[in-house]
Amino acid sequence: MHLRRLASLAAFVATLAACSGAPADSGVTVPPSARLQKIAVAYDISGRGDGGFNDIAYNGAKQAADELGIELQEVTARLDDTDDDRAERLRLLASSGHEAIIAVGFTYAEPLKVVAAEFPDVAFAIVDDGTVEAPNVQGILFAEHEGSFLVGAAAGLKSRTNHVGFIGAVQIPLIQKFEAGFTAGAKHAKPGVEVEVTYLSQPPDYSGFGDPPHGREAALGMYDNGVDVIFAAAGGSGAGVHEAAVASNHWSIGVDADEYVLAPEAVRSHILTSMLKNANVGTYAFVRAVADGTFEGGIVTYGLANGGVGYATSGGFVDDIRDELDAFSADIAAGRIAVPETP
Amino acid sequence: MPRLRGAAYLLVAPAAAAMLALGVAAGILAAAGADPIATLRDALAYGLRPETLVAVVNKAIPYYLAGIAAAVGFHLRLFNIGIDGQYRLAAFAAAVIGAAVDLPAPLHLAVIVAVALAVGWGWAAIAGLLLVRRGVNVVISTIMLNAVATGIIAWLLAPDRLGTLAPGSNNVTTPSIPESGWIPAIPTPAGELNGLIVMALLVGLGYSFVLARTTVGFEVRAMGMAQPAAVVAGIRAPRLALLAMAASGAIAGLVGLPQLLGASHRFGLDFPTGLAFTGLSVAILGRNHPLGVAIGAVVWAFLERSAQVLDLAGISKEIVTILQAVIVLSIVVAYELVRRLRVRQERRAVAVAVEGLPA
Amino acid sequence: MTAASMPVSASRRSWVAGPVARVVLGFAVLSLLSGAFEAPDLFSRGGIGATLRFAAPILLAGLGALWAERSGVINLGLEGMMIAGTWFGAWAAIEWGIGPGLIAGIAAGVAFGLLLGVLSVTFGVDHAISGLSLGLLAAGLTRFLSSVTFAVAPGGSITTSPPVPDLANLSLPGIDALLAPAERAGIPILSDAAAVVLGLLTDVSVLTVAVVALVPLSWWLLWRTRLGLRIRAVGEAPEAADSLGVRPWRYRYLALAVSGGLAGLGGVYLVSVASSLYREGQTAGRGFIGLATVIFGNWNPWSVSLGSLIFGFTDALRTRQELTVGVLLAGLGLLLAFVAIRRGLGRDWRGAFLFGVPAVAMLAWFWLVRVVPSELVSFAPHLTTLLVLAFARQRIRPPAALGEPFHRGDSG
Repeated sequence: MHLRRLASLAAFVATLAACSGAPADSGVTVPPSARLQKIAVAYDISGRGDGGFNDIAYNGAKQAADELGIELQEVTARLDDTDDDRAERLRLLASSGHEAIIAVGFTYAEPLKVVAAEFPDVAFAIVDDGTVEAPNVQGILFAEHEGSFLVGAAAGLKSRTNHVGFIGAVQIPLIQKFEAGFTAGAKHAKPGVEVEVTYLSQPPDYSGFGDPPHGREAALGMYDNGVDVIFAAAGGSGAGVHEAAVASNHWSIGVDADEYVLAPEAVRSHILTSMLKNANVGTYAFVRAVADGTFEGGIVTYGLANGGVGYATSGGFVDDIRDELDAFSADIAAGRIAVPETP
Repeated sequence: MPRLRGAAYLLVAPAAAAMLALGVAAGILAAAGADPIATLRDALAYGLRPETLVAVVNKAIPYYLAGIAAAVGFHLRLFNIGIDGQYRLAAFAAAVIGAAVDLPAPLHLAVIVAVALAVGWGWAAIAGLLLVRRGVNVVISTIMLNAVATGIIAWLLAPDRLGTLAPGSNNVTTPSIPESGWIPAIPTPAGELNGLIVMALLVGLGYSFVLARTTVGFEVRAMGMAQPAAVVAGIRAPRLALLAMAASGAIAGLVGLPQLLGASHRFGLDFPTGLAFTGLSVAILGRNHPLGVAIGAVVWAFLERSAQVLDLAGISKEIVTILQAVIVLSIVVAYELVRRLRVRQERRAVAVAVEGLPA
Repeated sequence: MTAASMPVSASRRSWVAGPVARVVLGFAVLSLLSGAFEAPDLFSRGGIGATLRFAAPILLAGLGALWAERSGVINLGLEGMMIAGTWFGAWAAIEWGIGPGLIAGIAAGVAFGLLLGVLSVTFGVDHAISGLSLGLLAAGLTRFLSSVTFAVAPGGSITTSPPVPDLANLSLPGIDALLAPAERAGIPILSDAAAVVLGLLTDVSVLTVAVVALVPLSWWLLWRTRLGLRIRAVGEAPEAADSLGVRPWRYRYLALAVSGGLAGLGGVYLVSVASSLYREGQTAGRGFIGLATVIFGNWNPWSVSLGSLIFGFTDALRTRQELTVGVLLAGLGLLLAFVAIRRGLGRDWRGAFLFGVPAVAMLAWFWLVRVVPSELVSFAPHLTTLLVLAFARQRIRPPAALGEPFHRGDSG
């Protein structure tokens, strides 16, 4: 880092701050941290407002920012971004006074390896990746397979036809973790159950995350062929799966957030449960740790044991099998059940 | 003298477009509740930093290659939408083979580039063959072949086939290419310049040489200007179309190399996609001219880089997208307005000349 | 943009004449195959219903492209017009009901169509760049609008709207009772035929019926009315039309308005019938597929609808039950083998080889593996369209002035 570059950046940042308007006043009770002033979240291409994972990650950061009374900056990636573009995005955030930066998505892994070394005083977190080894980077991973195991078990126990389905958005390892856990859970809870699996699109075509018509027809196809519970790990396309569940009067299972609460009134009666991926727990803990000065680099995995994943009980449709599901959960947390991560 | 005036007109159009685009941009920014002048000044200040300029050039390299690939097809009115599939498949194959072989540096690089060229050439040749043998329009065949390429890459990239999944990672990648297959960056005071810029320059030179100095280039230009006449003159249209498609594909095969050889050294789920449309836009902006495409690529890259500041200033990237559309449109509209102005003036000049002739 | 007069090797008359005969033959072969290899969902009532729902938006985009291209304008803005249709359709439908939603979606498409007219007709901007820029514009605009509407509505977010009201579904009275026994009887070909008829005539959305009706309507308007004649004349020979007093720009604007309206309707279809909410990115390239069906359909509404049905059918297959794609592969392999044998009989050894190799490969794969991996199933609709097109041996002839700007009184 040349001195001249630093100086010009500082000047630039000053003008930037002047034009970006006053920071949002959030009526805080906790006095602003002396150390942490500004934090930032860099999203992958889908960005915030996906009604799912990105929003949950944001919620954690936002909650921490509100409590600390600090400013939260958000930026989003573009489809044709190279590593260089992503690196520049992180660099720009780091050099404009953001001391805690959360990168959402594994596509930031390679850029972060470069940028983290350039800014040793900035704390970084990367969600869904555990490959960046640097003292100032925290990799936040989730045991999606563990949570999926539980909803798989719920599907197996609730299926009358012994035939359950999995609809994934895009066939990438991240979504395949959901599939692996779901299949294992269904077969564990009810040996002999048949599991149908389909994916809506193939990488790098990420349309499967936002294509309700395909989600709906895939689900109708499964229901027509004897499936009676479907786990939709399909982002926005899940709305189509829930619709199909209503149309053919079968169960569907939501993902990431508690979809029973988020979904329109008309489809709630058919959402059996949801697999919760509490990204907010991870991002909140990261920001608080930086503010408290207890931040450490390394990989943190959020699973059933520490409340990072779970299943939703809203609607009360799984009340009759909660004891069994909670027993499975305890077994997984204690290591008595090993859940596979790949199908 | 007329030549000079022509050059002046060529400059008037972009200048007028820039003014128009700036005006619209300021309007949109004001509508979005930002101070337009301060925001634009910041974006410009950021965009003109030496470090950013180096980054802009780096970003423009693949855009330029994609633009030249598109321009090769445009001469024969072939709309190669398949650049996307061609470069992804080529980069994937180059990554796999580059990681599998271990050769001394120059040979290693030659093998990788040859694979990329060959795969892009072959994949585009399918569309070319379908056109000349079966009359299948390249727009439709390349749209479909893009989807096919996506599926094939996804299948081959699976962790149990050619891909690997590192522990703790969610990104499937091919194995890394050994260092003998890397292209070193060119150091500058303001950062590292991607070494593939040399290849981009060579492609540009080759393109302008073939177009201006060879028989094929002459035939291509003749077909582009007056197809019926060219056919009558004995130019074999199908052969030329096949050649242009394959050449377009071969150049498209190089589009992924700056990222592969200069940065990531492997192909993974995070490999950039969607460069094809940028290439088409850049070729149109640059009017298929080797230098014009270069300017188009740099302008496009500059816009996208500067846009990162807008994102940081709390202006959502959707406004940037609107802005991009408006800027492109105002540039082409300005070209057209200047062209009309020029036609009118020339007519007047002709009229004056005709009236001025001695009876 | 199209290599217009690229010579196509001379066509020989096939004894499998006519598209209808080919469709029936293809159906019979696939039906027998599905019976033989126990892939029950190849022709099912639900699958045919899904085919219609997948085909309808593509068909609307295709008809939109047809209107534009017949007048001489390449409409690469269809995707953007569809995006506008999804957003405005969903928004108005949520605010005031599905009727206003339909009107708003169509109107948004028309507005974008007219904007394309301003750019490519009045200003003579390259059709590709004006169309693609409209796509960018629509994507940015709808996102911006979502941020001030759906994002603050209960049950919505910046990318997703609250539920959009649906339209009624229709069934032909009595048809179910008449054909359901045949559908369940398990007789080769006959049961599948019953399932297809039932899929087409029961539980079909009103809007789907309307979309189907737009095909003959488009044909009638374009080929049997003075208006249509003028639009086509402008697409073939704008200078000649102009000299006869038919103002090209006027008819191009009109055709683009219709084109945009159709694409906008396709957007409303996506948010109300194919699903029941607006979701960003929902069009997923359907506008471009629609554009492809026009070239596939040789600028003729009947063939355009065939193209969208083939795409919709294979899309429904691979989405509903991946297993059936294997049977489709076998069917295509048989088709290729058939062509190869005919080439061989005609002593065209090179042709026999070119078609024979993929035929053997596909049939061998089917024989040995049966199941096609889902990564490869994903492009079944695209590959099928491409192969059908490659074998259709049609003489492609786009409108002569397609993509040409028209400047009155100057030749440049």
